[in-house]
Amino acid sequence: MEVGQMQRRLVEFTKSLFMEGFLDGQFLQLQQLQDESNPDFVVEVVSLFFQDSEKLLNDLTSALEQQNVDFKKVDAHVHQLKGSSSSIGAQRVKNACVVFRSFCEEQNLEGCMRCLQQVKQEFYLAKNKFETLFTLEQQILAAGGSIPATEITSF
Amino acid sequence: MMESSKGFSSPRSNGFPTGLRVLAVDDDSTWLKILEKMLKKCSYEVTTCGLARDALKLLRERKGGYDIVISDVNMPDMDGFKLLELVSLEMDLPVIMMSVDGETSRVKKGVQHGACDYLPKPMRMKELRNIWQHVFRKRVHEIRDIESHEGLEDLQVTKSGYDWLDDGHFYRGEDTSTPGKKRKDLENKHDEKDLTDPSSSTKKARVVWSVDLHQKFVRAVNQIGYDEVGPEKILDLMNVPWLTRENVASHLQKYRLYLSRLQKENDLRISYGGMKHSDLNPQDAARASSHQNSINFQQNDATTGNSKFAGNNLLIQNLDSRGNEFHTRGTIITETSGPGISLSLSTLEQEMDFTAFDSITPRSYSRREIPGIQNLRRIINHINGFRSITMGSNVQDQNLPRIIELLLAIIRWLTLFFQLFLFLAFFLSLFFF
Repeated sequence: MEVGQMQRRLVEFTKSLFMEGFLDGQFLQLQQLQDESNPDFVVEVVSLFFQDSEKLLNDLTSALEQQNVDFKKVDAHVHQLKGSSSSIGAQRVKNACVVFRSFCEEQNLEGCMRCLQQVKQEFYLAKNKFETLFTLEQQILAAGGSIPATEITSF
Repeated sequence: MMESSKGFSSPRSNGFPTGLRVLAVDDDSTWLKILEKMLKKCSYEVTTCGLARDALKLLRERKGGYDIVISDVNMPDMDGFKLLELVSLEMDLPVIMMSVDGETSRVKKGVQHGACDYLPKPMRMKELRNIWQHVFRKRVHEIRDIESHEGLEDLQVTKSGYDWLDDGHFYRGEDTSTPGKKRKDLENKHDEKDLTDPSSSTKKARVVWSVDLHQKFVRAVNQIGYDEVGPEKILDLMNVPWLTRENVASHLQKYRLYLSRLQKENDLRISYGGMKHSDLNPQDAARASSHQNSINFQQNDATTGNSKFAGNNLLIQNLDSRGNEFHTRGTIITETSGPGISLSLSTLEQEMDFTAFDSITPRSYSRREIPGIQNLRRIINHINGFRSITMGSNVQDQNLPRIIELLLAIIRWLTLFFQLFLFLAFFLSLFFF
């Protein structure tokens, strides 16, 4: 595949991510922060997010599996996850967290369990999408091309 | 305006706000990384911190090493709001709060705890670019405070000058011009001084230790630790530009004396539990009264606006008079002495059971008197404390209060005896005639 084709594919893919709500404006901010001094900035930040959040999800799971579920603690974890996901622009994960929090407030264990599943699903989905995105970018760079800037048409 | 300010504690190569030293605190490492990058892009100097405790440590270690602090309010090890409060009060730095949760109540809480701005997460870089305004604003306000404070000093001098004129001259129509002229002269002096340099003041006018300032002072002292405290350290911590080392030193001395008085008073309260008074001497009465008058006089000189003094004054002045006035005296004391002297009406009333004319020996009275004497002693110590503080004299702590106490006790005993004698004489006369 030649460079031009790869670049077009990347642009299409990125657009679809925005359209489907996987990404939001924050991701664009991150991309803008990337420069020559920090060429892998976005990759680093996203990797950091996935590392920390994986741990957070594990904590959440164990917290909900307790005999006496401490909803305050669960809520704190979810709040943290919400904050983190908003940092990279993982919009769907963030939205799932918002729903999760409302169930925590109601102390609805069943609702919380369902939400947890939802959050996990979105999380791994997002991870997948990011990995695809980065792979595409790497391919373009390896082929000697440059990453095209994401154009915001209408959000 | 920026040229005349004292500037930042470390030299800046470029113009403000480049190189603004920011401390970013967030427990979320993803956010911290993003913040760091964003702030670096704004050409700020960033230090990051994952824990509030570490942030506080950094701030304390490098005093004046940061210009502004940005912190998340949801942190595991310390309540973010508490951190806000600590930073804005203790370090006197502008602090910006961040939160994913943008609820009005939360923002309100942040402002109440001292935050000068709120940034919702996710934040845009342009919002971070503007944070320098908070540092700038603070500096501008500080400069304005310096200028207005010096204006206040001048005003005090002016007022005292005016009073002097009133006392010294007949108040005639023509004389109104002289006070005005005098004020104008002082104002001119103020203007001249303004032109030169607002911060270098060679005035000998008194520094007004406002409640705010004193609170800062006490906070600084407590932070350093009372044992290691010194004027320079306090001055550094207080971070008040127009305050000089001399001001702090003199205030520290007064504070120390005051604290030692309080300590003594506590000790006395414990130790004077069962003391008896046997050395009463009618000769001492004359001395006592003269001494008492001198106490009154000196009290009047004490220039602190403390309401305690009013209460003390009344007590001592009335000691000479009759026994049943103790009752009213008690009320006076409790009304006007405020929080400083914890006198209770009941303890004073205990000793004033004059209806019972039974055993009137000194021994029996001493027991009931003791609470009253304790109160008296407290008063005495307060008087002595503040008197010596305001006069700055090197009071010999041991002897003088004791002498005064004894004298006062003597006065009271004598009064009691005298009154009882009168009553007895009256009844006897009735009986015999």
